Amino acid sequence: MGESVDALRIEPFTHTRKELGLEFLDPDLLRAQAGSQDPQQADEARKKLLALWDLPEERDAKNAETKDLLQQFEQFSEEEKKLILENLAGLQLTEGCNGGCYFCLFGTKKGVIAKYSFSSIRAFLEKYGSKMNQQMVFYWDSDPFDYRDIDEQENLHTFVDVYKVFRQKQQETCHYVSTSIPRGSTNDFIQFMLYAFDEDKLRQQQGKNPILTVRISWAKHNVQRVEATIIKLKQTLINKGYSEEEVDNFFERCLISGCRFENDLKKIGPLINQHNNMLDIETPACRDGILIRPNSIDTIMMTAPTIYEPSGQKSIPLSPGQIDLIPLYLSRLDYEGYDQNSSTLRFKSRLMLPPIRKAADPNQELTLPNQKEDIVLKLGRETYTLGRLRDDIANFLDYYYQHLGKVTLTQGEIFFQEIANSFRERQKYTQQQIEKARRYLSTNPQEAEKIEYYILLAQVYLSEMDLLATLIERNFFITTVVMVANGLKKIGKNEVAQLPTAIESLIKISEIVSNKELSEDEKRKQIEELSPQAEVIVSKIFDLTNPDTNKNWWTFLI
Amino acid sequence: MTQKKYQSKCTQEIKEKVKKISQLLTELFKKEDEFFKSLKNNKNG
Repeated sequence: MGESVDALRIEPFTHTRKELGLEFLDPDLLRAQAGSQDPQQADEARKKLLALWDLPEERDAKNAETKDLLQQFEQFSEEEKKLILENLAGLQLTEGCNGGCYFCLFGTKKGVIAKYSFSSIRAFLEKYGSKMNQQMVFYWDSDPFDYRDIDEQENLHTFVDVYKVFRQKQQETCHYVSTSIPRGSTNDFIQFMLYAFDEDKLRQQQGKNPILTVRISWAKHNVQRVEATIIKLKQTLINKGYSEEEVDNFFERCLISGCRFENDLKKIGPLINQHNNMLDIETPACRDGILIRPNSIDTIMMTAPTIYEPSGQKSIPLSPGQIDLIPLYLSRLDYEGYDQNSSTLRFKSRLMLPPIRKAADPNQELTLPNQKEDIVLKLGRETYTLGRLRDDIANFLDYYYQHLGKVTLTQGEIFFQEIANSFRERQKYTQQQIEKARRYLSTNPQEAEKIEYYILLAQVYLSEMDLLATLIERNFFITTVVMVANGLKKIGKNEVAQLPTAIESLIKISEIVSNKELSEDEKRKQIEELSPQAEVIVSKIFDLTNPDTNKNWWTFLI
Repeated sequence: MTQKKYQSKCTQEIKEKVKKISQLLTELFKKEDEFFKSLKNNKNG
């Protein structure tokens, strides 16, 4: 959720922890202190362990209700099973979580309440593992390192055991794991990483690329635990005889860090009530597909995060006999405006997310049984994809400066033309959905209110993209279009009345600035003559507060 | 986007489009405020 992702290093954890005024905590030392004869020291150590490391028994997955994965899956017909596997987005091992992330998209949990038996996971993976969608992950509304099950022979199984069985079936598949290293799971995490180290070492010897990425999600609530765990992992590997360079190389290949601090957090999910602008259209719920979880098998679909659907994910339980509700798998990552890895701009066909399709017949749109729910979903989806298109424009200059020399403004102009064309092709479809939605307004007041909201939301994004496409079609300068897109993105309820003045002023200022026939002084004079307030309003609305650029900020438009 | 002699392209059509966005956004924010207000009332009630 609004995170920055970097290769993993220990220093940022230490630096941030110190900045937050938190002490370094070593759990091994705390355990020793907890047994101290000094009651005060023992009490303090126990409190710290309970807050950050130790898990109350009732929250531990091994004590949670046990479900049978194979039994759950076998209820479906052969055709349904095939489509579920091919379009699998996630196989969630537990219900509930011990990560304690207050910003969790799907709401914070108080422990694990259900899990699959390891024997049923093994049987499932042995039978179906090779047929599963290769992009599936072992988590969703959960953390894989919470998984623990004790079998009939009293053997404890953790995520590393699941991963080993999975690898027998998918040896060369790139796999992604995300974790906050929940309370009670630090040793399980270390055991998994030791296995991953051996796996990667072997691949390196064979000259192969890594096939595992583990993202550590961290914020204030877990920074001490994460720091101590990574230090311990590194030390364990060094104690096993590996050099620091080898360990760092492994970290570089397989570990990434995603920090989630207040300023990075999107106002969606449980934070939706703090939302007061149009910034947050993107959500970490990034796939259409099927989610298998202990309590149900769900169809999950991407939509806009709103007051009605704060996660940005529409989720409905799937029952046998509902083959038309299995969506065609789609990952948002395949539809990014920019490809950060290859430094190229994506093709037109990849700019907008298509409507949700049926896996059984990809030429047909998936339709929910409840027509009102269906139209709300369709408007949410249109809003989402239009919003992402707006953000592609807004983010272009960041991308341009990151890849200076590799991406040219001429490429940008072509890219913007493609955005405008893609939007124009889609515009009619979105309008049709809005018209269709109006037919459901004479329903009960509560439902009508929701549909009205979604109509309005889709209209906002449709109008924003219409404006931006018009600017592109009228050959406005790239910088102007980018600035307007950013303004639309950042506009909050307190500034909305000033939007017309701000955008008009911005366009005029950028036109003056871009006029090569004018000298610097003439430009300044003409801008000042526009309106005494124009520059101030534009600075405020477009958040141009950098002290270096605040004065004559517009010079960077040249 | 070739350089042209200065002549404002911020036409009435564009101004109208911006005005429409501003109106829609105002209405949208109002609806959200009402939603949160009623949510709060329901919780308190």
